[in-house]
Amino acid sequence: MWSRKKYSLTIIFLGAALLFCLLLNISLGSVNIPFSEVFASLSGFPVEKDTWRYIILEFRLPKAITAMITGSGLAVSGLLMQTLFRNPLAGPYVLGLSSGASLGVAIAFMGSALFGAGFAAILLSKWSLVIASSLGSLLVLLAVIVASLKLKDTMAILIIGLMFASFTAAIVSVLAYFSPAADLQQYIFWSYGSLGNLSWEEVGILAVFWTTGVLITLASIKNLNSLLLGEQYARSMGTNIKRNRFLVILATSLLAGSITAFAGPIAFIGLAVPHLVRQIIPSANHIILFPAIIFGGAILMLLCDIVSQLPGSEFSLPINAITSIIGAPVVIWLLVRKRRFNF
Amino acid sequence: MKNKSSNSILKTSGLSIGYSEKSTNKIIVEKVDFEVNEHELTAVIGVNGAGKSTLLKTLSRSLEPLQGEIIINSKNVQNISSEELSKQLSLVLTEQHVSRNLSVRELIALGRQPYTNWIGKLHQKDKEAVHNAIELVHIEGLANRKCYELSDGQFQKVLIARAIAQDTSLIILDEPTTHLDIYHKAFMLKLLKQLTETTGKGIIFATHEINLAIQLCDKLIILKDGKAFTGTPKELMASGVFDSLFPSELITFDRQSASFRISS
Repeated sequence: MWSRKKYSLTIIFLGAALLFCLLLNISLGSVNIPFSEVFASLSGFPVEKDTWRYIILEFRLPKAITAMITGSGLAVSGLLMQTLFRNPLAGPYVLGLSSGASLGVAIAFMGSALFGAGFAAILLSKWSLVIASSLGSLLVLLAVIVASLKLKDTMAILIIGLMFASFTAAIVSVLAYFSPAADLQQYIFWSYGSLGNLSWEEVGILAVFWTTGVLITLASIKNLNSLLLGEQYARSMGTNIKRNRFLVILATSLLAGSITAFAGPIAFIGLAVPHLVRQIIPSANHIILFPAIIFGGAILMLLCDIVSQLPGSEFSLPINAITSIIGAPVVIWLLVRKRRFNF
Repeated sequence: MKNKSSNSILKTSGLSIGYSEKSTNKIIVEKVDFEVNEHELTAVIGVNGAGKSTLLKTLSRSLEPLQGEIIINSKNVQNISSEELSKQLSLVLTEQHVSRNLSVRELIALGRQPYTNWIGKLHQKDKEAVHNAIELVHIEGLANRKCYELSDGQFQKVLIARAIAQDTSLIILDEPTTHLDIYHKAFMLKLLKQLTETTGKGIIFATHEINLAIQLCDKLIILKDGKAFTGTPKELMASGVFDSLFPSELITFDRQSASFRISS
């Protein structure tokens, strides 16, 4: 067993690694900016080229912060769902949040085919995507919460989430079937996910949701630990199963819902990071896992973002593909190397 | 029953157990009346489906009693909060999906949850309780191991230590001897007996090990055909309940050795 000191050191190391990845992420891109200049722009010292400061403060920094919020938020949601359902396959989207969001966005992009051209005009504002996505998630979320308050069995919620996902995916495909190619393409671009394009204002809103979700998670840590023994044990130790279930679903929705609204459906991170961290840190104790997963999620997302930018080139790849392309081999490698699946 | 004084931990009266489905109640056992006192080891015995688990679930408030009441430390179980109940009654369950990716000490420390603050910080008193529980079930050598490294018998002891750390006057165990070999079965029951003697806790457990239970337990609760027979092993032997517990062409009760045997 690891000593307390070893756990603390690992988490401090992850924190340091996160700082390094953040600087690396800001420094690399279509234009590579030296570390010293990155420091200078961030701390307000004179910078060799004014464009560098502009690039960093207006583009790369908000994007890097979005990446950290997205990675850590999805990873924490994944942990919450995996513990709540005691299921290693659960992730932030098992409740059907991203399907709800994609339904909202699909209606925004492709609804004009169904509801006429006037419909699209209402949705042309800057916030339209965020609102459409949030409304979609909210609809599914409300249904899941109503179900969770009525149901005794937590596993049934998992099935209900999956059913909602299938249902909304089917409606999306019907919409797509009737849509002109241009609308369809817009929808597909959204589904690739995107960390850029966020103004400081939007980053601020995202940060508020992230903080609320993380604070609710922090308050649930004790109950999450009791759930490691199963619901019956948890109840016998004084855990209020229904209240805890509600809080966990709420935190997941705030985190994953807001992230999907601003960055699109980012795959894989939420499912994989908790497993990555559990393979590295041999404990299921949430007091240890929680900070490690926040750092781990942020690190992985920053790295994926660096790769998707193809540093030095003019091109970039869709972030949603990169997360799986990088993440899946890492998880497989860790599992094969350790020959043991910690859950 | 003997001893109606203040050291009664658990008492039921007019208790009917079973499941309620919509408007109809499906009663499994009626009039389960018994009392568990300090220092007493009580076994719940019955064939599969007789209602052992139903009784234990009702006692631990996972199921509502269909009739009658359950009194723990002179309070009606239905009227206390789950926080308070968690300080009176702890559970040891089998067939649960328990994470084994915890160290033995971490798992036992979870038993302190009813007493810890919002984030579950362990104070000196909690650490002492965990240490004490580890000593009581004799697993000092395992304390720093991970639970996935343990055998079923060892893990069972860890789960019992967790219940002890919860510092309740009553511990309920659901079939603590399943999956164990005959040596570990005897060892486990002996350990439970020892715990009642040293800690004063009342322990009630469901088991199929009827021969071991007759030898070790202070009281037995026999569930048979919707009825409950309670008393000391001697009282029950005298009443003749054992003679008709199993179909006599297969298993008979031998009064001389006070044990069940295959019919010859």
